[in-house]
Amino acid sequence: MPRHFDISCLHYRTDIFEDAEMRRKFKAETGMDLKVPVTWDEFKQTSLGLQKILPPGVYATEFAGKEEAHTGRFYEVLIAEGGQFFDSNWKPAFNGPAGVKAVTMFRDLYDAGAMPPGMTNFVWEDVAKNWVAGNIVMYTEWYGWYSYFQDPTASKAAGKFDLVRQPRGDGGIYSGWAGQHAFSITGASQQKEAAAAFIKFITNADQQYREAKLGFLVTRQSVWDRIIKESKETGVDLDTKRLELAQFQAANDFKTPPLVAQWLPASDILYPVLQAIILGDKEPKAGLDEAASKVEEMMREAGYY
Amino acid sequence: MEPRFESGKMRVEGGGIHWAVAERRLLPIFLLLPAIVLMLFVIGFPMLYSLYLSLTNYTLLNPTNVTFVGLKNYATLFRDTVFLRALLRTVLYMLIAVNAEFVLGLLIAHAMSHVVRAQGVLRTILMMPMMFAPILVGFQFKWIFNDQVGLINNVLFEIFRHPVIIPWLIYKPLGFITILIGEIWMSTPFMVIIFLAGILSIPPEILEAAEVDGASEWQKFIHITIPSLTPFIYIAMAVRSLDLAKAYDLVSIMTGGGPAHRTELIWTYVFRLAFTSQKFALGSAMSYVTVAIAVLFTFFLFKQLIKVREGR
Repeated sequence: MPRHFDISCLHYRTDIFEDAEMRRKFKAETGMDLKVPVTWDEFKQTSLGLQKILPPGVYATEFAGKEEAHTGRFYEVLIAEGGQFFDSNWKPAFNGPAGVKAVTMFRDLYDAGAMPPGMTNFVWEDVAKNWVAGNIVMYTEWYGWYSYFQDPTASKAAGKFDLVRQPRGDGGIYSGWAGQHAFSITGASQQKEAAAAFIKFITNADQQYREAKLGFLVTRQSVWDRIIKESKETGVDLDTKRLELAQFQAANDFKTPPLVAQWLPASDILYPVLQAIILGDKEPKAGLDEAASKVEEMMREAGYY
Repeated sequence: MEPRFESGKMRVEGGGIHWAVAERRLLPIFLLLPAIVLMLFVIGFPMLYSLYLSLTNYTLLNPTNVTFVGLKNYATLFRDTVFLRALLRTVLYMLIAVNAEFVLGLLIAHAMSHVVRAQGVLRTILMMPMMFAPILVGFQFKWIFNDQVGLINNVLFEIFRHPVIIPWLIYKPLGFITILIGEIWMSTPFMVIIFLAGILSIPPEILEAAEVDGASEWQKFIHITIPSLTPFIYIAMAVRSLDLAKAYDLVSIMTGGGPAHRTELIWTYVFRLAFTSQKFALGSAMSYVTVAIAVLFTFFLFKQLIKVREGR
C-alpha cells in the first residue's frame, strides 16, 4: 500500500537569478544570459559561470555525495544523457559515454569550486541544511522538504526560491529519480489483521492530509484535490505551482532505479568510485570501468548470468 | 542436627539436602557454569556459525542457496586492496591514538595528582567525554568539522574575517586526522583514570625520599612515577588497543569510511560488505581475520605484562 511518492525538481534562488547586478556580472563574465538551465549542459555552464561571480562561501550548486543518495543522483543524469545502468542482459552499462559525461560533470563542477568541498560527505540532511543556510544557488531536491524550506524561522531561502522541472540530457530525457514509500505485510506475519488495520489508519485521508501539509507527496487523489484547492488560497503562488509540477513530473519523468535487489550492492560498489573520480583519485572512464567490472562479478555471483 | 559431609556421597539430614563435593576444585566450576553456558550460547555458537558461513557463499539476498566454497573468501580478501588498506589504516589508527592517549593521559594524570583543591570537581569534568556514547561524539565532531556550518571554520572566519572553507572530513590526510581527534578526545579520560589511580598508589615516602636526595620534578617523574606505573600502562594500552581495533561508531558517523575509502577502517568495511552489499560470508571471513590478529596482539601484550610483573 503506497504512502508517499517523491521525485526531485530543480530548486533555484529567484533573488539571484532575477537580480539585475548578478545578471550583468554573469553576462560580463561568460558572455551568456543568466537563465534557469533546461539541459544538463546548460546546468553545468551556468554553475561554472555563477561560481566566478558568487561571494566566498556561496556555491552554484551541490549534490548528495555519498551512499545510495549519490548513486541515485548519478543515475538520473546518466539516464537523461541517454545511458542505462544495466543493459538488457543485466550487464553494467553505466561506464558508457553517457556515464562518463555524467560523472565528468560532477568532477568538473567540484574542481571549479562550484560545489561545497565537503560535498562527498553529504547526504539528504546536509544538502538541505546548506540550502536553508542560503549557501546554494540551485540544486535538485525532493519535494518533501518544502515546508522546511519555506519556514522563515529556519530557512534563509524562504520566499526566495522557485521550482522547475529537472534538466534534460542528450537523450532528450528529463531527469527524475523517483520512488515511493509503501507498506507491505510479510507472508510470515502472525498479526496480519492488526498490520492491515495499522496500514489503513496510517494511510487514511486525515493522516495523508496532515503529511501533505508538511510537504510530502501523498498517494490519495482526494487529498491532492483538497490541498491544491487550499494552496490557491494561501497567496503564495509556489504553493500551487509545486503541487502541479510534482504531478506533471510524476506523470512524465518518474524513473525508478533498476528494480532488483542488487541495486544497493551495486550502489555500494559504485559510489566510492564516483567519489574517487570527483576528488581526482581516478579518471572517469577508468574508474567507471573498474566499478562496472566489480558490479558484473557481483551480478554473476547472484546468478544473473 | 549438624550437617555431615562425606567425600563423594549425598546425605539427607533433618529434611534438607546437602551436596557432598568430591573435591574443592569443583566448586569454582559449578559457580562459573551459568556464565560459561551463557557465553557459549551468546558468543561461542554464533562464532562457530560465523566461521562456517565464512567458508560458504552465503548472502542475505539468497540465504537458502548456500554452497561450501572452502577458503575462497579468505583468498578474495587478501586480493582486495580496499581490505588491505583498511587493515593497515586500522593498525595506524590504533598506534597513533593509543600513543597520543598515553602521553596526554599521563600528563593530565600527573598534573591532577598535584591538584589540592576541587580535585573531585576537576576529575568529574575531565571524565565527561567518556560519558557520551561514541555515536553522539561522532555527530558532535561531524558538526564541528563541517566545512559549511561547522564550528572550526566559523571560528577561523571570525579570526581572519574571511570565509575559511577547509573540508576537514574530505581531504587527505585531514579526514583521518579529524577522526583521530574525536577518538582521542573521547578516550583519553580512560587513560587518565587508570594512571591517576596508579600515581596515587605510589607510596609518598619514595617521592619524599627522592626529594630529600635533591631529585627534580622531572627526575622523580622519569625514575619513579613512570616505572611504578608500568603495569597500569600495559593494562591501559592493551584495553585501548583492543577498543581501537574495533573502532566503528565514530568513523561511521563522521565519514562512513569515505570519501572513496579514504578513512575506511576494518569494521566500516565489514559492515558495508556484510549488510549493504549482502556479502555476509565475505564479511564473516574478514571479521575472523581481524579477530585472529586482535587475539594474537592481546596474547603478546599480556605476555609482556607478565614479564614486567615478574621483573624480567
